[in-house]
Amino acid sequence: MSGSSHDIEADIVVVGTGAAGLTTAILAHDNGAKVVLAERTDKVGGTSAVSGGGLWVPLNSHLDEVGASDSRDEALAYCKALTMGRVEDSLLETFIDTAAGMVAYLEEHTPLKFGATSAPDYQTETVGAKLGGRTIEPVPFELSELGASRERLRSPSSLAFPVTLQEVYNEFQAFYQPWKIPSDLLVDRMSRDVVCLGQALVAPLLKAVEERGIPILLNTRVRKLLRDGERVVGVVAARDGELLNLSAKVAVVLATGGFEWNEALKSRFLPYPVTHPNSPPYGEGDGLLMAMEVGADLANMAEVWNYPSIAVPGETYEGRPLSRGIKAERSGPHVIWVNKRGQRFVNEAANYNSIGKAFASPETSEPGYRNLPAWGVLDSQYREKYVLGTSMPDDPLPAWVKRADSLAELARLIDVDPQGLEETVERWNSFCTNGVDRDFGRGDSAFDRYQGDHQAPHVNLGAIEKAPFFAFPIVTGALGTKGGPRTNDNAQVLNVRGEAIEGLYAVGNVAASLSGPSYFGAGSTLGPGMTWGYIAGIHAATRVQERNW
Amino acid sequence: MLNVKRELTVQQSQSQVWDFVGDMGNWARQMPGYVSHEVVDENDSVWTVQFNMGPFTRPCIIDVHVLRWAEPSEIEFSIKGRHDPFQGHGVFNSEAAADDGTHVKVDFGMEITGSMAKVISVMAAPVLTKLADQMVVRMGQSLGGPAPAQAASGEPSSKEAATVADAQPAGERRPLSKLKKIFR
Ligand SMILES: Cc1cc2nc3c(=O)[nH]c(=O)nc-3n(C[C@H](O)[C@H](O)[C@H](O)COP(=O)(O)OP(=O)(O)OC[C@H]3O[C@@H](n4cnc5c(N)ncnc54)[C@H](O)[C@@H]3O)c2cc1C
Repeated sequence: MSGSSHDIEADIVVVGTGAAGLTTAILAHDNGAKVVLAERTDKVGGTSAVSGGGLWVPLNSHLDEVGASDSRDEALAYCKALTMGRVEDSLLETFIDTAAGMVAYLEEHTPLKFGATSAPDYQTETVGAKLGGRTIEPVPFELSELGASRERLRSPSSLAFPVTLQEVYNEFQAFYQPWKIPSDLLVDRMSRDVVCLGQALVAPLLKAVEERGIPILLNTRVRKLLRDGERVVGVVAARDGELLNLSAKVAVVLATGGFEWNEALKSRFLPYPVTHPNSPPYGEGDGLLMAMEVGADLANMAEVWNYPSIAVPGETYEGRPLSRGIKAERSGPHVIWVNKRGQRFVNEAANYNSIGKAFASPETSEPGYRNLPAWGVLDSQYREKYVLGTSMPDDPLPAWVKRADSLAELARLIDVDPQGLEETVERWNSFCTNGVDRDFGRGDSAFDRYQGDHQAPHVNLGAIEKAPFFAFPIVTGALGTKGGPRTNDNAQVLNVRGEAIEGLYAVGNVAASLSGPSYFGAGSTLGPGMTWGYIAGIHAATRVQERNW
Repeated sequence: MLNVKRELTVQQSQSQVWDFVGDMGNWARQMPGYVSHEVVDENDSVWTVQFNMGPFTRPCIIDVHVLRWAEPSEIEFSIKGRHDPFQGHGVFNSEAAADDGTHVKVDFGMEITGSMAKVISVMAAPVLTKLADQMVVRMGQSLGGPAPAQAASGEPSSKEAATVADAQPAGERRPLSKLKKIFR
């Protein structure tokens, strides 16, 4: 770093170009502020661009497209139940009262458009839960609309197909059998450069930012907040080996994502080793550290958006190990998960966030985690019918999958107690015969069944009985972390006395999540993240107007 | 089937070229993303390659089998992904050229198999084109560089005789140029 500095002035500096940061920038601009976006990488979109793009938005205007309905009371009851008293009611209420408006605003004022999905909430038997409609997703987007800026959009983290969540889950029931998605549809979309999921979310937001002439400073890593007394008045960033001062007349909005790629912060705060984050490797907790440095209070620090995953050895994204959240390989028939004792430890078909918490369970007689390492065990009925990681049934068996003619031999290959595994499978098979998982209730909830194979005799249960048997390692993945600075109803960062730190906001995964320990439904990170971005943008811009008067 | 044909004229003589390509390790090392190779016997080798598609990389183990050595000019070979659903067939051909140089041709076809073949083929096509281009450039460099006539005239040392798009139905040609950008 040469130490020379250049100054850029704006009313509001937004740090990070994920969905939360882009939404903040758009709203701040539209409410009269001069905005600058700073992004540490050479691409726009962060984790949001590689995501599924779903948003959990109670009371959204698309509910009726899938015949669903909602009410404020139900949404609030559900959120309160799931957060178990660990999140302020006012935050939940603000979110529920604002989220649908955020979506409506973006649909009216930007090229971003949404469609409904039938995805149920993640805890369908809880008061206020809905069996569909609260999760919405962006409609497919043609990248040609971005022109040359297409090059600035972050690429998906693996070979993502241009297909929507609703198509995968409902229309084609391709969750277990991706080949059911008509290849003509995919080829046609590819030929027209059509993207879906997270890219279809970020691309229109990027277009909206560009249409407004909001500058995006790429390769600009913000390292420190500047203060005048207690008030945050700008940031110092590193760019091309130089220091850059970005002064913010009114506010700095942190939208830098989580700290899932910062080993030191993870070991300090997380209750178990999250070794394989699913996000691009740029969530290193910069925003968290900057907020801590100016005295922010913290909350929810031990919580993660858990997503148990498969990592194909050697696959990388941006030079770091790539992992993929496990989908079919946990909810369907003929597969169970076991620990080193060969015992099941969780309802594998429950939502990924809840399942991931099982990895934090400690050994009691020795140091270690009871359920790590963990393995998925399946039989040839599964292998013949369903996708396994990136491998289709007729593909050669991947090297990371172990295969054996007996369960005892398989157990030895993966260093699991053979007797334990045989007993577990015998017990599991008896549950399958009776159609009830008496240990963990797999298949009891509507959510489990939604995720099952709808063509199978029992959508979630199927015996493990037909050799050869297979095992694959489960790694501890995460969509991101969800602890960080506490914020108030305006997305302002609070100090330990509960007072707003003037000039500082935090939105998205950098901030303490209003979902506390839970996951409301598909889209629970992006829906709230963009809602707080919307709130922060408007609130901070209002301060600009006040100053100008 | 995805097809690529490449031609180039190099400075080394045909016998020098033959000595070079007679060692399968020499081919393997030209492969972009080469990690390692293991010679099993005179006709078989196993290559480990890290495919690079933009920010995404994926390792791949390829079993390479030489079907025919026809000294001094022709080698016919087949490849198969050990854990990935693809196979291919190719012919390497050389011909003595002016000034003791050699004209080299490689004709290679690859087929993605399995239930996702159609879609993966569209995704793989630009990767294959890029690999072929890079491999030819490297091979040219290892064989003494482009022949002087080509170098002096400013002509490219490698010629794309047929593109992968030739192997695609008409409706599938457009995606390739666009997809190339993704796999830059
Ligand atoms: C495969 C996958 C699928 C997912 N699917 C869904 C889904 O369907 N629905 C859902 O709700 N969630 C989903 N998630 C989670 C979701 O993507 C993230 O929680 C969300 O994108 C976080 O948004 P954000 O704006 O807070 O952060 P990000 O989108 O990660 O953006 C943060 C940005 O800040 C930049 N940055 C970091 N530090 C600095 C710095 N110091 N200076 C400047 N810039 C900086 C980063 O480079 C990045 O661009 C998924 C995640 C993954 C990995």
